[in-house]
Amino acid sequence: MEDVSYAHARQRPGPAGFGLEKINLQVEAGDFCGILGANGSGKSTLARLCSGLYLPDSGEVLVEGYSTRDEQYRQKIRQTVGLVFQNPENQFVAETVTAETAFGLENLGIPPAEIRRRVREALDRFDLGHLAGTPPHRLSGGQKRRLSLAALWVLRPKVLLLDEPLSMLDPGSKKKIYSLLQELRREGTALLWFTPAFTEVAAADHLLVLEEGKTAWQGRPEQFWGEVGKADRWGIELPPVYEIAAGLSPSPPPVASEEEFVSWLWK
Amino acid sequence: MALEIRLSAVTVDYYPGTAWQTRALAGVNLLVGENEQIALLGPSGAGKSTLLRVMAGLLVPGEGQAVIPEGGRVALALQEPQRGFFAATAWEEAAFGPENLGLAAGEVEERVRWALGAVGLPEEKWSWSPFALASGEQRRLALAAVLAMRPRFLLLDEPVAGLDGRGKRDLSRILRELVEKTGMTLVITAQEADFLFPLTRRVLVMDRGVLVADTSWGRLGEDPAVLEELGLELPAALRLLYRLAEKGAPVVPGQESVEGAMEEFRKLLG
Repeated sequence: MEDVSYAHARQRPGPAGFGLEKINLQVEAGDFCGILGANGSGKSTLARLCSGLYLPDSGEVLVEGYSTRDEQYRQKIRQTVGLVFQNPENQFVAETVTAETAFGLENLGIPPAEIRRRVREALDRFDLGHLAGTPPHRLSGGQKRRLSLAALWVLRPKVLLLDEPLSMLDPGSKKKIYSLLQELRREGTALLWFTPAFTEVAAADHLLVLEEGKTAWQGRPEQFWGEVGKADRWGIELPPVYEIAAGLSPSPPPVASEEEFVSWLWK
Repeated sequence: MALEIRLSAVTVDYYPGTAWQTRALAGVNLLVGENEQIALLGPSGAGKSTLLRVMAGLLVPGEGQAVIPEGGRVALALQEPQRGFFAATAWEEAAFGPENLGLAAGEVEERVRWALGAVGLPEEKWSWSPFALASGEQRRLALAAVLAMRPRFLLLDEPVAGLDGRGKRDLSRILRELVEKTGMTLVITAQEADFLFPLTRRVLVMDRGVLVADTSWGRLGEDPAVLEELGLELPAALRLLYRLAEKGAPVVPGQESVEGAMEEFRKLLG
């Protein structure tokens, strides 16, 4: 079970952006949790805190009961929680797709036969088999994103921290990555999904809105519509179909999908 | 004389003569005139960025010809423009381009003032270091630095990548105002057709270095296979009109503009 985090990090020097203040969040196996917020609201900082890459100034981040402060559990936490960077290139270290996928396993001292089996399985699952010998930097945007997921998935993480996983992708790649991630969730992997786009997390179990490093709102996606007037201030991107409905009616219905929009206008 | 960008049978290879030789553009013919607003669509790796570089004169084609207006008339705003900052203040960053054109100090000042104002960077921050600005403000500054050249052709490569909802809306408004006031030609690439639809009329579609369609939003929807095969989508407003028409709603789906699409929806609201 992935458990609880309570982090309190103060603003640090560095790129513009806020620290985090008294964030409470609990994620369990198979949960899909969306963290919404503007650029610079603290999303990436929160993702790094959850993975143990940053340590809180006060409060605790607990992963299966182990504090990220505790050095003896750091390796275990890194295996449990996989961080997918916004730019997949930032995490590539190896020369080929196969070597990249095997890299994390090799560092854990897993027997070669087991490594080969898991890598083959991962390349199949993320549709990378035909690219096994290709250097990561020569892949397309969608392929790079699939590789960054495959390289984490071989480690069997229980939580995936996804920092804007669909940004920069074309619509076809977006759909493919989204359905791969939902498949992992159905198998019990928890997803913590950081994004400014409501559409990407409309199917989440739980949402948290970050504003300048603080929790501005928490609730279920269907409750979010009660707060829709604040979306602009929060820097949240609403579904394009909702934006269209808002251009047609002063009190638009909460439409997030094309089906909902169509049945609103035409019975 | 009217300005234009004219590409004839332009072919570009990366790493020519090596094992990694890759054809980025294959025989592209394109004529872009003044006061045109153009969306450039295509999956990643289709050659969009390469095409913009050729249009900006930054890349000389291996074969074919690119005829481009000179003297800062064409400007390209790159992906992640903030990476190129080097000046001590936002003002100096924006002034670098016009200074290099050899303009008089008064003219430089006027252009910088106009450009920083057009992108809405608050005046108190004009003396700040570019690196001290928030990410959204850095984007605005990078755009101002390009605008200060007073280009007649503004080429934007993925300008909304990584922007949040507010950032996208702000940029959309800035670009619409620029077009209204200056009649500037825009050529924009973006993964989001919803961002491009209100800003553009003409649509270019690329696939593997080839220009596969030179059309308009209204005509693009008539042949959905072109986009589907490339993993691309129509803007939401047009997708909704086609869905409504399929269900028998009395709407004309192939609209050329957001305003036209909204009129069709309003018919159903009564």
